[in-house]
Amino acid sequence: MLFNSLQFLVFFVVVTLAYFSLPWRGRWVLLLLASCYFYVVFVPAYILILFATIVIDYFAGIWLEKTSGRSRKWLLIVSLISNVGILAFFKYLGFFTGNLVGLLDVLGATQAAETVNAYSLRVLDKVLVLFGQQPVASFSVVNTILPVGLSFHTFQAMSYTIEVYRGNQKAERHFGIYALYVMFYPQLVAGPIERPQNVLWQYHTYFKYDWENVKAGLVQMAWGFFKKVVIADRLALVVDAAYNHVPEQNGLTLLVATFFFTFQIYGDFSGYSDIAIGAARVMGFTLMENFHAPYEARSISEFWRRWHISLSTWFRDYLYIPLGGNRVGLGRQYVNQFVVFMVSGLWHGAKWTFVIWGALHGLYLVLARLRDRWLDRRGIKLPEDNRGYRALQVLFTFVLVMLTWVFFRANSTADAFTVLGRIGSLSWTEALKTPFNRAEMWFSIGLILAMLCKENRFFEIPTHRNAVFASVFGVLVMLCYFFGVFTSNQFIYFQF
Amino acid sequence: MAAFFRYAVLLVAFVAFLGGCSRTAYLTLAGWGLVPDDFRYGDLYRLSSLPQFKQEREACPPFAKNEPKLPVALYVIGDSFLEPGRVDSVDFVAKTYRYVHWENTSELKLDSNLRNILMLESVERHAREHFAQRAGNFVFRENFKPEKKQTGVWADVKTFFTGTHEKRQRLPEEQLENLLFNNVFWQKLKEWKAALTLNWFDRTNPKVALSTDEQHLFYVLDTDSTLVNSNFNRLPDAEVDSMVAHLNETAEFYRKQGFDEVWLSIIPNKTTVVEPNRGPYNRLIERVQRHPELRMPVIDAYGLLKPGGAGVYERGDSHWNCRGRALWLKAVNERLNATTPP
Repeated sequence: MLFNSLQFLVFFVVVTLAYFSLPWRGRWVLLLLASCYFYVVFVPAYILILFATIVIDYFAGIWLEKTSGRSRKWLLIVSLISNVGILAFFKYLGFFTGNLVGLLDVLGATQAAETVNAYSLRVLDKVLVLFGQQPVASFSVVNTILPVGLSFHTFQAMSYTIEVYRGNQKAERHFGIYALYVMFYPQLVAGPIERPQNVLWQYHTYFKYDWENVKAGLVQMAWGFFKKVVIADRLALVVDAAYNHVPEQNGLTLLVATFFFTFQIYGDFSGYSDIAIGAARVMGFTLMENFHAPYEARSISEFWRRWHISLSTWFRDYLYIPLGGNRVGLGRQYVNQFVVFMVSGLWHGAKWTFVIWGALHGLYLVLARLRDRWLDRRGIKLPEDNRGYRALQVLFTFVLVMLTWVFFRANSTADAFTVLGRIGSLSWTEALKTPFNRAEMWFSIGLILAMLCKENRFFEIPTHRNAVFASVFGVLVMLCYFFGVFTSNQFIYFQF
Repeated sequence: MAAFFRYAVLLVAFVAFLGGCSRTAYLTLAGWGLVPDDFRYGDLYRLSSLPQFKQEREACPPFAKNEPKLPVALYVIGDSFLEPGRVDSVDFVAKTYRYVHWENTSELKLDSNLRNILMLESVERHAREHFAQRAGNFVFRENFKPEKKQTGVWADVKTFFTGTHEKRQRLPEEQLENLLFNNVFWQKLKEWKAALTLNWFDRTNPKVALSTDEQHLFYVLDTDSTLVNSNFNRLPDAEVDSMVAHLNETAEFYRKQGFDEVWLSIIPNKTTVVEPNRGPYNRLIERVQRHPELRMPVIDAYGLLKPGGAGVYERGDSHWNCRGRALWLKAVNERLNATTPP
């Protein structure tokens, strides 16, 4: 179910009111059933995949706690492989097959390439048919039939077994509660990717109805909707028109589209996170914040402490640190950092554009560390306290991030390089090709500034006074209605 | 008091949710008069909510109610222009009348005592899809396998689990919208929003398009030349030949099955009649109707409606109004009279 749908709004009202009308025992059942419904609206049969990972990880958690020695490690490996295996099969089979086929072709083994492609496709089709889907003729269309949010709930399930293995979390004995941990509908399909320590205890807790939480949650949801339907979906009109027909666009149009995409993706994803966190908060649950004014970052490393926090900390805790973290030599640290960001790119999608996007971020970070080392050696101090210098840092970081978004949004690597080439050689006299008139262009820029201003100045909208709550909530709802672009745009991160 | 209020809202929200998600519940609520007709001001107004195109659809009088009936059985494979409610048996001088939509099939048993005539009717925007293969919507009894149409809650559940994504997401969305927001208050808000978006941002609902002088409303399917449905989409000669071949094949098939005649009628898009110079018109209707290979009589709706211009179409709807409808029905009934021996 999409958050930006009427179906969700009515669903949310029904589930929340029913939730507060039930005792604890009924509440987890209600939330679990509601979460199942929320998920099956996309593709019903795919819930079986979710159930499979839930069953595996539930038992793995209990056995991990009971076992000691080498077998513990093996249990963890089996659990992780089953999770990653499902993810790899659905998300990466096409990508890896395509690349292997390409490699075999280059090596002249055309026959082998055809066999590999046909075999992989046959296996995929058999599985798709098993899940009631139509078989596909090529891997190019697979992305549209993937289980929604697969990467998110797989990572959340994996964090549970790893934390149990590390002894930071007791194994959950209540199967329904564990299932709810993986399936809790507000964060099921696009995060935040929670840690068991943060949320599992909450599903055991009976939260009394709290008007303060309801107000804060509703306002956060309304702000999330505003970012999604008023800002992100409006900017998408320009972005899609340009990026879906790259060869026909000039440099200025592509620059504006890229600038808009930088805020579209922020409005889209942070909007989703706000709705998720707000919806949970109305019922008394506290989910982790996922964004903190990322475009205010003064460096790429700071950007990643502010952008998709639940994913960046996941990679830090479960990949970068196990690879050695900062305890290994500098060279190794650089390689590890680069690898982690490449994997992060691949997590987003099985396309080279995402890998390049991740690699660019990895490269930025490594280069920044090399620069810092070089400056340290020469005893050069940068004017970190100077406001002008800080503003320049923010601007420079923003431009670097914006350039990486080209790869994230482009439909192919060829398109991405065309975009960069045209932006690099743009002339300011070119005519801007956009579906917006002048008024909407300025309105959009105003919206972006308003969003930045709000996110930077008032991280949380004060709702303590009822009159303030009513006014803010009313105005946001009205703005969403009158200025929202309701074209059923799916959230960008749903595809991951 | 708070608990009472909570349960009351919960009940209302639950009924609305059920009404949106279950076709059976939706139809039940409609039966109780709780669901208004969302097409009452026309399909284009429904999408756009532009107040200047709000005009209640005319209820057209029966065209041939008091006319003597000819010994003719008229069968139509058609679309929304002739769907029940818009056009019915009382509008024809034929003794019997049967209609099947292009997306459905219907059982057929010809009455040899009557003159059996089949009409293939299609609106221009869907003609390329409809004529891309031989039509077989009327199926003879011996070959007809009736679909088991299940209704009720279990049928809804089955549809939910086995149906398309559309059934699970788009349909509930439309049903909920109609159930909750199709009333005077919300309609006013929708109109304000539509007017604001048009006046400030020069945009309308992406499914509709305004004429260049902003006096008429069209489906974007008609105006967007990148879409195959558009009047302005390039139409190669080979495709026209192929459409005509399929039409001939259909006519031949049904004649062999016992039909005396098979007729063709292509209803022009509103854009074709009202704003044909919006782009390079592909002249689909004329090229099919005047094709030297076409072996079936034609009811030339284009020729009938074109002189009427915008005056033969509903203001907020893509379909004809009573005047346009009457022109077409008159021509069909005259043809029935002319071709049927007394």
